Amino acid sequence: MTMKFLWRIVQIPIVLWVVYTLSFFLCEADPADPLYGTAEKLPPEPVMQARRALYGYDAPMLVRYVDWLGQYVRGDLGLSASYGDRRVTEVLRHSLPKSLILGGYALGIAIVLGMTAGVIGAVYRDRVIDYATLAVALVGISVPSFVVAATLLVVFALYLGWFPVGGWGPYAWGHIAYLTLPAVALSLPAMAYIARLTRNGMLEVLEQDFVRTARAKGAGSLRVMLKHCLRHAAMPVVSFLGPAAASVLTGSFVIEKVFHLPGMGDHFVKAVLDRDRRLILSVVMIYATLLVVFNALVDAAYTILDPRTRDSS
Amino acid sequence: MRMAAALFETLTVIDPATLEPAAGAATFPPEISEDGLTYTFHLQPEGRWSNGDAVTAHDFVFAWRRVLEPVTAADYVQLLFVIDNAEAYYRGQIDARTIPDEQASLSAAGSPPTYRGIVRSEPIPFEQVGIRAVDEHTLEVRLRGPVPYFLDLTSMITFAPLHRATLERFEQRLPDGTVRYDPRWYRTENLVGNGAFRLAEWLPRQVMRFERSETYWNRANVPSRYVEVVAVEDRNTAFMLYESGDVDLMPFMPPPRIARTLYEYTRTGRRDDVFVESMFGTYFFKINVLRSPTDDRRVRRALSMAIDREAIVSQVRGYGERATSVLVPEGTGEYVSPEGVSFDPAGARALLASAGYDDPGSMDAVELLFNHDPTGNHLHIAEAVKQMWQEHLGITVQLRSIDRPSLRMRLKELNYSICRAGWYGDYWDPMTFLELFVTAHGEGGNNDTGFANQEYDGLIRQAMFEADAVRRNALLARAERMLVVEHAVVIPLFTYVEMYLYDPDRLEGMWVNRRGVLPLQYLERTP
Repeated sequence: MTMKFLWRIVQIPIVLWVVYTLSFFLCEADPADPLYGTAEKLPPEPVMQARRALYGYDAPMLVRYVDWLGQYVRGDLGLSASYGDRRVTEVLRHSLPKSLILGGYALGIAIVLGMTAGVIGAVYRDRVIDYATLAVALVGISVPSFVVAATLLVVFALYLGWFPVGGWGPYAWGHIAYLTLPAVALSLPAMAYIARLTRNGMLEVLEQDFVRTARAKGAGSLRVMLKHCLRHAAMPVVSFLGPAAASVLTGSFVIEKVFHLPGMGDHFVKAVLDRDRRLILSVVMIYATLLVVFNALVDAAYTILDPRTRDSS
Repeated sequence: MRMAAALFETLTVIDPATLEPAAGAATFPPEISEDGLTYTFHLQPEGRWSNGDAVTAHDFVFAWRRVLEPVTAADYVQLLFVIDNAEAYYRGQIDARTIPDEQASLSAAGSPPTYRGIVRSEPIPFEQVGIRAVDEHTLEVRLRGPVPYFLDLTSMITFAPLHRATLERFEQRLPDGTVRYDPRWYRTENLVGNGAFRLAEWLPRQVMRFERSETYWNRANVPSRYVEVVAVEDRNTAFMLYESGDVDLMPFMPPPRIARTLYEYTRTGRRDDVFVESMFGTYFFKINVLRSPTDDRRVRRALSMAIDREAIVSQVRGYGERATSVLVPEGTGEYVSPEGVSFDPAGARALLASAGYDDPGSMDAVELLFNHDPTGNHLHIAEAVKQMWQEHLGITVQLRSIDRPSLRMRLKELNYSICRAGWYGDYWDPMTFLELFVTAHGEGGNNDTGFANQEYDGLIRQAMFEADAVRRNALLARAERMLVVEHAVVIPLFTYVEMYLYDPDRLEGMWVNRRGVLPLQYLERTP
């Protein structure tokens, strides 16, 4: 198993290199001049040349490919063309932590509420409460986030006045009143998936022999549920959490726009429209890194949760 | 712009109530020479930078020179070209680096011209530019012609002073010898301004917090200790922030559906916090005059004549826009625009026939290009126009929506037929609209229609040097007529409107006006 896990670690840089290469050449395939995105009026040609040099666009494509790759390896994300010559690291320093905080909050809500709903659904199978959680989950999966977000905003912020309309709040690390509505909106799809996965996993496990054995040995109902059943039922949830965490933690364009939050999700769309290639590549690389790291963690979690995977090595 | 105006004070400022220039960093009015060419400004004796230093005439000279250096790539550099030799200085700097010697000698001999159609300018020393600090508190400006709107120009942020010592700390010398300033000079912790406010906090895309500057000469007339400006991208959210009372003022239009309802409410008196104002800006289409079939001016004029502008403003828009068939908005000083084309489907068809299109269906499809807009505003207008052209002219029209950088690329390459455009006047004069269509205007090439007309250029140049207001307006009207009627390079559609939301009982010091002048320094929330 150690070997298998090590192999996963070795894969990470390879996957990231492939992602970088694909993204780089996709950007290059864009016929529009990358410096046209920001200037209101086009400056004269010598100025354009100076700007090209500043951003490294004067070098041939392959030289740039290698240069930028080297910079990413060293952790240098380059200059952002759409943020008034700020460094991409500086742009992300404002937005990435905020997305991580909001995403962490949302992920917490999704896991706690989702798994609770799943367990309840499984225990009270085919009863009203099971159908109720099913209905909520269905809504969570199928209703697009801009509708959920706008609805939450109108109901809880505008009419009831329980929460502020938008913004990050007065503190750098956020404010629970400001972050709750966006976190709920952000967590809903993941929560719904988790609830369904937990419920189905639980139902499967509840039928198993070892559960009956545990009960027969006199283990209490709650103890059986949590120790024996949930541990097994959590397996599909854990494998879902890898990609879900990466996507929730890097923010959502829609949620950030609706709640007026300065997160990273915005960059995924705006950077492309602005032709800000360094910013595009940076957010793609961050997303990809989170994705492969979380997937590796999921593999690690498997070996802890499921003793059978440990035997394979 | 409004943010910068809170931090930097220009020589004159536009009074939001009268829209006339008034005292700013200089006392008002300045001394103006008999011939209208030399302006002498006396700076406010108590003028101070936010770090306590006195604001001097040298700070203005330094800042204006920086605008004229091509490396600054100032968006509005051409505004300074009214100053004597400013354009020559700027072009000299550029040409020395872009036009090779052999080409320059050729163009000097008459042919072929350089890419701009003018001969290479030789670099001149900055001392020849008409900007001079007479002493610490006196600034003398020499113009190249009697520019009636110069005191309006000096209220624009492009003419703001800069704290020289601060910028010099961020000086960078580029390999080719030019000097550039590290953009960190305008970060919160470094910025030194002379305006009514200083920048206390700036979270990009979130909020700017302005605190009253305790060194500002006129601080006694700044009632608010601080003003916060929230940058909200989503107009729905912005509207909800306003409705919930989180913000006191929303100086732009909510999403179309809400805006239309609000507009109805104001007309029926159901809300008294919504203000709609006709702006100094025009929504129009521009046409590529080099590509068939729009290279024929009869075709262009026929297209313009076949648009029912009244229907567009009343049925597609519906926020009180005014239909227009001229470029310069109504009521620009004493200027009166010429008669534009009127809606005349039969005349348009006849004109098309005279251009050889007896069977308009045989004409190549005309493509109408516009930038993608999430609210769908441009799409709705384009669809209406397409329908009118197809119905009244029988031609085939294709709509194409693309993103801004691609659009800009296609305009620059003249790879389009008809494109939507809009322009807000920079200063209170028809020239701000008409100079856009001078042959290869400026270096950035705002004139991306391919229209290059010596007569037009001549009229604009004559107007620049014409001291008599009546004669000057006549020249400009003649030029505008060429643009919208004779050559039909542009198809104006309507005058923009803007919507402001605020409760006049809660917010004082706010003037809704055509120019969108909104000085933060007068705003005050009543308790």
